[in-house]
Amino acid sequence: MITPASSRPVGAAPSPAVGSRPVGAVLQTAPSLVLSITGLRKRYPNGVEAVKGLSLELRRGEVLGLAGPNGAGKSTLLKLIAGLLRPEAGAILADGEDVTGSPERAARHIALMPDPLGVYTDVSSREYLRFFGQVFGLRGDALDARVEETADTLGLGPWMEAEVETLSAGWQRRLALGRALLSDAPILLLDEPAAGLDVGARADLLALVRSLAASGRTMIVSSHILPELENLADRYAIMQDGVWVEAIPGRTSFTREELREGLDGGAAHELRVAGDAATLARARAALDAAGVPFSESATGGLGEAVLKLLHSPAP
Amino acid sequence: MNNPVLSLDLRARLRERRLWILALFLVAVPMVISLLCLAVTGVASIAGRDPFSEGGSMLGAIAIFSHGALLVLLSALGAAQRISQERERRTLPALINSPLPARRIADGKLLGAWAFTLWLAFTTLPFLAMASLWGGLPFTTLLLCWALNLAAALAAAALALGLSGLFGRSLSAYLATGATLFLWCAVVPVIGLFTIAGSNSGHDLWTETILPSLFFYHLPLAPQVMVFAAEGKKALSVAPFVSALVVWPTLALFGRHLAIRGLRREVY
Repeated sequence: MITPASSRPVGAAPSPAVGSRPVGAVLQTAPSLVLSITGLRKRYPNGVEAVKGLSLELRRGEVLGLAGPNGAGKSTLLKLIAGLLRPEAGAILADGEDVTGSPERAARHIALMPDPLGVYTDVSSREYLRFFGQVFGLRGDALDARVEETADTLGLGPWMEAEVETLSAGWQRRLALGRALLSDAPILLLDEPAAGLDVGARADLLALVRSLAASGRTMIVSSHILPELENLADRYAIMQDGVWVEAIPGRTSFTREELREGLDGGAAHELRVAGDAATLARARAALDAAGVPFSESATGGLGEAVLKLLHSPAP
Repeated sequence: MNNPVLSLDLRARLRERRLWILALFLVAVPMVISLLCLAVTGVASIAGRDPFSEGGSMLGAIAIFSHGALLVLLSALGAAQRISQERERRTLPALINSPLPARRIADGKLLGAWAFTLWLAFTTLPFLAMASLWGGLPFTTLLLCWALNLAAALAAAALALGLSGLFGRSLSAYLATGATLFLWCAVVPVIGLFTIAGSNSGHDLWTETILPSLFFYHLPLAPQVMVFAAEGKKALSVAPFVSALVVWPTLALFGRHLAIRGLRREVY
């Protein structure tokens, strides 16, 4: 049976549970570590505990693919790392800065592309990028050069003078990514960067993210579709109900090769579920209850979903 | 001051049609009232009184008080959604996840709100000049009242901005702003009336200066009323000005503090 392993840090050898270290506790990290999270817990005012004692370690230049079904706690985790939410317990150290203790200072080290994007719609793309360039401390020629460079990287050139609200969802996503790129932050958090895009736009955007991954920044890229992250990350981790899933027995993260192996193996355990939304929800709930991580890789048509099991349940 | 939030705010607001419509409204109301003034002047002329100075005084008074009331109301409403709208449109996470401290974001928002108030205030200056030319009140008196209107509106805008930081929905922020203005302009003076009526103290200082300072003189249009009431008299009481000049900046600072706190709240 695959079991959640919330206390074991992703990216570290299996270790005893860290438990609930008090908020703001200072951690000593190894020099190569750029992000260190220990015993992170977050409960929303409505009582839902979205993150239940997560730990995570990322080294400089490493890209983590964060997968999990909707409601697993991925966005909450990214917002906690970005300092937008305050944890009940745990510590986050980003590039040497204590995020929980001083979120404003930590924002210099972390750039988040949130989901939903929340871009300003009543300005042009150029004004939007110039604004955030100024926010990130760029001025004069350096600002102009950086905005042009970002526009070139993202292929935004023809749309720079267009009002943001006239842009398609795909171009708005590129613009939001552009905002994150204007920052010199060593840690990039991309929350569902390809959500809501058609196949072509999704492929373009993921190719762009892949090229960013090659640039040496430390990144966490989340998606509820695990195969989407293939070729993108160095390591992968799956969240479910606010905890890490031991997708491979005894480990909370796995490599790209192991992902491919899992996906190939998973094809043998592919479930095709046809029916209405309630039927699909029951199938997902049954897999969740059995602790079987799965990816909903494609829909075969109206009322049909293909659920690929990453590991078969224990006999 | 180089504040990117202010620059973006000004650029976006200048394109808004709503801004021009509001300014037009502010110009149109005194214009309609001026026409009424002209009609009254005509009646006074028939009655054999000096029509020009009476008409000028009336025009000046009406322009100042209608301008003051509208300016306070519109400035507060114009500022009431500035932070809550960021939460509502989900644009706040990107803004907060930046090296810009909450204090500078709040200052940019506040200066943007004040720029809007200044713009509205300047639209009425031509009417004040007209009232002064008409006769009745000196231009310096009208200008003093105009400046007091502006100061009260700036305080109301800052307070509304602070309230907008507390809410995730613009409608809630608008309602809270309306309720706060009502509390300030209606409930506080009523409490003051009861307090003064119930006061058995025979001390003039208590009933004529301290209690009015606490309950009346800081109201958005109170010092202007005192200026008009003192017109032609030698002595002008300083109590209304002291009260207003203490309470209005305090409200503005409190609003700014609330806005900064609101920006430091969690962003879901």
